[in-house]
Amino acid sequence: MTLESQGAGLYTAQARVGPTDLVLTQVRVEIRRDRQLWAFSLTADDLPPP
Amino acid sequence: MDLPERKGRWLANLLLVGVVAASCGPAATPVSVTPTANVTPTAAAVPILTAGPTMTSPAPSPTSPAAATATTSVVSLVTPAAPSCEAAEQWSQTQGDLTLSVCFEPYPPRLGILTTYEAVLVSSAGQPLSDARVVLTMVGGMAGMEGEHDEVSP
Repeated sequence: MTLESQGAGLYTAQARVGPTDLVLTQVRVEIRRDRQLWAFSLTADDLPPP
Repeated sequence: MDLPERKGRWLANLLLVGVVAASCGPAATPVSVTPTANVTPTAAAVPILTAGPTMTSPAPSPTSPAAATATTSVVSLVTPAAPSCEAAEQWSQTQGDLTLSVCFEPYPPRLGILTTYEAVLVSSAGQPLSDARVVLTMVGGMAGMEGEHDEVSP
């Protein structure tokens, strides 16, 4: 899913992703700017419940 | 007494009876009028509420345009209401000269739930980067099946 730029470096999207019977295990964020590419990865452990 | 004169008297009597009835009426009528008056308001109020098409108008409206408006407003409200990454950063990492901050609403993110995703990109110089392309991929797996996973997209 592509996040829309809102300006000031902020990107947002609102969506319902996947079925509820799957457990989120990882979130990948890929960023492209000019010819540069950054790839970030978050695991469920990086997003602990508050 | 000729016919026209008799008709005149008869009409005069009839009018008199009417006047008397009318003047007496109020005395007795008040009782029935009062209830009527009470009923009238009630009846008037009921139609206003029932026919009060208040039920009819709102019902159709919400179904079509209002529902859309409500949905739209909810969506538009959710976005601004969602915590900004700057205010409620939930995850942040720096790679080279780029710092990515991500937050989710609701938090923690879960699959199958309507979620607002926010990412903030800032260069090492502290400048926000607004001209990048940001793609987010959610990976899910069956609970209890480690190693097994599926990539999912909206």
